[in-house]
Amino acid sequence: MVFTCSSPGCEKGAKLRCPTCVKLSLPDDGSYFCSQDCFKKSWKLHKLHHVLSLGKNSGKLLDDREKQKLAFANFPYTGKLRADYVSPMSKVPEHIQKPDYYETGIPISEERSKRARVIVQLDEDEIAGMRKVCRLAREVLDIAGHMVKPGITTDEIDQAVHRACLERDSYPSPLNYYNFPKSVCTSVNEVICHGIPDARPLQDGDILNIDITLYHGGFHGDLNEMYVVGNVDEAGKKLIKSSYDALFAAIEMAKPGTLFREFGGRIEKVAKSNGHSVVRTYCGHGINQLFHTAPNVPHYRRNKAVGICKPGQTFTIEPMLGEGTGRDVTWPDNWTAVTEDGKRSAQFEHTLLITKSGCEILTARLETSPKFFWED
Amino acid sequence: MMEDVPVTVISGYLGAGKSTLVRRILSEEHGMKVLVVENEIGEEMGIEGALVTEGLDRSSVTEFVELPNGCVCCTVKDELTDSLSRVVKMKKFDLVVIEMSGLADPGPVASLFWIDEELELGLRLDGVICLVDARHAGRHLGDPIFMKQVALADLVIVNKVDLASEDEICSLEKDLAALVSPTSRMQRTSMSVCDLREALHLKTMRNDEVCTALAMGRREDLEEGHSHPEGVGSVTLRFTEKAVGFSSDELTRQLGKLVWEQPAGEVWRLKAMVCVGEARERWIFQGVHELFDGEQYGSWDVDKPVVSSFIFIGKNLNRDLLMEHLNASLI
Repeated sequence: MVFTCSSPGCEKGAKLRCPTCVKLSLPDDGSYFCSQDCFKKSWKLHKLHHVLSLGKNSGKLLDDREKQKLAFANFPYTGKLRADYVSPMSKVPEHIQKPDYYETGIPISEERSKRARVIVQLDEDEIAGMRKVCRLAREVLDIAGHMVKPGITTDEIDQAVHRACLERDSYPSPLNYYNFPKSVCTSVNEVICHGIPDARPLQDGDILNIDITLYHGGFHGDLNEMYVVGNVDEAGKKLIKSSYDALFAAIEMAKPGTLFREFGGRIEKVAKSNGHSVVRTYCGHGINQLFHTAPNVPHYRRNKAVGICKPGQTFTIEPMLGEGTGRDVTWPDNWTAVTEDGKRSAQFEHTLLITKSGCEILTARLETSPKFFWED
Repeated sequence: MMEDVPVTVISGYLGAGKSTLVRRILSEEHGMKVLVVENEIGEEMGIEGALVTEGLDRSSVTEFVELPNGCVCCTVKDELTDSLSRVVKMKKFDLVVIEMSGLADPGPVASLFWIDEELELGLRLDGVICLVDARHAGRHLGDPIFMKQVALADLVIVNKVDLASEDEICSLEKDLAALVSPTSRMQRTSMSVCDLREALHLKTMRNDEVCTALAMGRREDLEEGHSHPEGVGSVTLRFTEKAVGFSSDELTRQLGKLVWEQPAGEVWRLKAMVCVGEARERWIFQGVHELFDGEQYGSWDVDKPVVSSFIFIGKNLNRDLLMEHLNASLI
């Protein structure tokens, strides 16, 4: 098929397509350009097209199931898990305070702060805000965790998480963050992270990560944990315990003066000693009024992460360990990260606050939190 | 395992001959398949993701304007390393060249391509080239961006010498010498004609190159440490006494402070060859923009004197304060 350049006055054939149009699945018409120059020239006008088309088309987009089928056609899955049906996005009522990406999917304040790359130190009031949201996030994670059993779908967990967030006057931070379609990430077996809740019932023997982030009072709080579904084999349990130990080995080092680059070495040491690998692509991150911000906290040794721990900084550590390779592949849904060899991956995460003498785990467990299998 | 593809950053003020150099890289016969990235449009368009993709495949970067040796695509943004890595692997490029816009600071882009090896992106920062207009550069000497471009370069090409008199060139070179790092090279050209294979394989980040550069210096004035009237320049520090053993952990923390908090002035680039611990391990440290790293590279010969050397390049560097921080990491 040959398209004509969308730049006004240009009638050349066009093979290049605006990436935003692609991302928004806008119709071909009006999204092709003959050259970078034409694209540049008509950008001011063209970008309006994104906004206008969105409104116009929202009613008659492709059926979601068909879209997914198209995207995954011939995709070489790395393991046994398959993409399943994803239900429509949940709604958030008026009165809930929302982050800036709620409508557009683009976290403008985050992108702006990326240029400055300053590692913020929070004041007492802000720290109180972080304590509050992290406690709420813990409560919501525990609600989700208690639901885990064979037969339940991750979609059901998502619905419950969404409700629990709203009940706590909180926005589920993942929802529409760069267009993520759900309120929680659920990562089963070979999924490393960013799994999308869907209609697949959990099976006996699955390992599951539930990753919760809430936005409340202007702050984000982020944590995740692993759950065993029914009877999990020893190797799976060992992987889970190993990633838990790796996280806590790193947390032990968190105090003023530690460099953010130092955590990775400790994490990798624990992983290696258990015969596990560390995923490199995804890192811990600063978190405060922004969902993801500086610092960047890699989980592998020999990294060049920028920054020194100082009181008042809040950030996550969230090592992802692999039974086999630490290399990752992303599904065509552009979110689900799976291991390249299809072997299982496990992860734990806390949001931490650096204090004068060490650190405080803001998302720490409660008496009522579901017990780990090694606590039985 | 394939060898990592070198990435060269080309900076230079407007009219210094960057485009001519890039055109040469794309059209001359040198047997290398080159991917050229123009870091031009990002700012002026006010959007970050202005990459045109081919067809529906949003994983690829690019508009490809096919030229004999490669192709030209567009803006640099943070996620670009990832997509660039895919394109380079897929289309088997031998080289990546980033052409900076005339008014851009090459530091952030250079550091973007100093990628952790662990990420296996298959790209490695090779070096930063700065082109300078032999005839007109004199008038930019006080300009902060011009000074930074020159100071950050591993290779400074004084271009268009055919259009300037010998006196003009000599006087410019003298002025530039205060800005150029003692470990960097300077060369004269006209029409941007230079040995491309060499210029695009400076290997400045390689440990052996750092050793050579620090041991000998590219220029005779290495010992001095010098700076331009505007405070841009380099400081060289050497430790030759008996107390030469550094703690690598402590040195890493002290360098972190110096680079990120800048208590002793702005550190733009650093190179060091350091004696670590009682075992006299030889460590190489390097820094680009806000990144730095160190690793062991052999040991010091038993029968040779140990000299730990540090070169800091930046602005308003304070020798005493730098020294103080380094002293704090001696064992």
